[in-house]
Amino acid sequence: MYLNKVEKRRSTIILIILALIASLTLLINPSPQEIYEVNPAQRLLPPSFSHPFGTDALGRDVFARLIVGTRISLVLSISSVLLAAIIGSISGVVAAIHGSFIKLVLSTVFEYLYIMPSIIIAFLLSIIISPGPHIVIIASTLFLLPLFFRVSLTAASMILTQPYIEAAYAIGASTFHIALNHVLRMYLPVLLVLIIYNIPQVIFYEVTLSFIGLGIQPPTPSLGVMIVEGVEYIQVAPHILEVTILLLFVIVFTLNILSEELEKSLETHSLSYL
Amino acid sequence: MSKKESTLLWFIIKKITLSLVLILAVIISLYLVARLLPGDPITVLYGEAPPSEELRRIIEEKMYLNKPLYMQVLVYLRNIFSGNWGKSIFTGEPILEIVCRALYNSIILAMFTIILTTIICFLLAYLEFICGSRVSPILSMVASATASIPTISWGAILMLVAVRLHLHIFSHITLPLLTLTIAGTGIFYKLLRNSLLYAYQQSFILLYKALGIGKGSLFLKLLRFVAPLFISATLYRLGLIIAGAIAVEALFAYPGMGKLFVDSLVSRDYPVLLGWSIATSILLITINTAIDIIHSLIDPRVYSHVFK
Repeated sequence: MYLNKVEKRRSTIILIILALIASLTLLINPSPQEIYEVNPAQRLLPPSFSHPFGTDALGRDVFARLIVGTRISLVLSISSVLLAAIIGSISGVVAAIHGSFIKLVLSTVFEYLYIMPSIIIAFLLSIIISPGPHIVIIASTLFLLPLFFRVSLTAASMILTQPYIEAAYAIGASTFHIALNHVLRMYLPVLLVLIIYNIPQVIFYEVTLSFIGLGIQPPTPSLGVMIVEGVEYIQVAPHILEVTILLLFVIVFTLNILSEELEKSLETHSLSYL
Repeated sequence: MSKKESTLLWFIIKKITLSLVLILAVIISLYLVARLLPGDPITVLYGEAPPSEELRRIIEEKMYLNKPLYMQVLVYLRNIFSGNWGKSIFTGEPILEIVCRALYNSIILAMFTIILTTIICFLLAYLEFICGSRVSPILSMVASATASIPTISWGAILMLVAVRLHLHIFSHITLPLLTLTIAGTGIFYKLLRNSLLYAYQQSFILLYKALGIGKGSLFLKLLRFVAPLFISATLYRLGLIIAGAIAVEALFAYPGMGKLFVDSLVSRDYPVLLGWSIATSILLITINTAIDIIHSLIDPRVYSHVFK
């Protein structure tokens, strides 16, 4: 029991330290010149004091670009996960409560979204509107929606079989009240874990999108763009790729620990398992 | 036929019907989107030099472009189901042939990845089951770590290692296979471990322990309990690799579905892209339906739950 507490505290301390370091980078606001200005004299420099992570193929500071790129990637992934979570769980709960026909229709729609390659949707969108952050958000939301729908449908169906739901109906509570105060509230812990677990998935998805040229467009930095640039110069300047992968690793690892610990402490295991 | 069997049969029939409807919906919507995009097929076909009026009329007649849109959709559906998927704009090869070749390569890659991942996961889980708390923190740490790097970065890391060490890679499948295996093992190991832990708390384990069953056979009993979930997850990943190992295949130039997608995207070969999307969707639907059916065969609670 005691050991368990120490274990818990250790990962909490790691998380707090990482969060502090991350918030320190808020103090650094690279100027647009640092991020975008091409400087041929200083291309592909190894890490030094003035350029902590070296420079890239166009002589731009990798450190400054990474800071801005991480912000962009995180904002994009968090917003698309939240979007998918809101739409997916509302439709899941609605399908679970109304059952039969609405459930069949919604399930079919989300099944359709799941099998329609979201990358094709991203590509089609990129023909109509120019590629950029909005395409990343739309494509990753569509990519995540079926998952959120499926989990919320299963969880809500399980919650609805509980006796207290029946009791609530017996007292005369409205369906909306039950959905909001009983089903959604019980489902919230699962949703929270699922949201944090899926932020890295969207970051990875953005990397794939960048790799085929449908993600954030190159002068603007993002983690995906940085990785693609790093792969391009893997032979001459491996430090770009190494630093980017390391940063990505720290971010995703932190989020994974967070979601694992949350899962443990909220005891959602029995729910998310099914 | 007993009631149980007829429920199962009804469940399977319902699943298959639904998936057929979905296949139709996907093909129709893809075709419509492709048709409604700016630029008509004849301009795409002839590029800069437009054909004469007469030629244009003949082509329109031949491609059913003068017919109403629903007729075009029907003709397209007929072509798809009779195996006439059209030809690539650039190489002139039949699209069905290109897609099948890529699919074959992708299926091989995915199968080997799944088998390798499963073997490693089982061995690690058995190791943890035998050695207990001595190895489990290390193993879960490593599993979390490998799952924290995107697949494409694992590919880049392996590439870096291979270049630095001057390794002689004896087959083009080696590096993509290793990349996908390393990237997937972490998640699968954690999934297997968590479900084994859950299974270990079940009361039937206590009974087996009381019966004095050996550790090895106890592990097998546990595996039987977690089999439905693990098989579903494995098949799900199989589909994802066949359809979506896009970045890895492009990175290592492995001639599978992912590379086909990137190539036709770069060369703007729309007919091939259309064929690719249709093949991918059909594949994902088939695998999804297979997962549901296999899952309900192994674990009858699934369909009985559905019909409650």
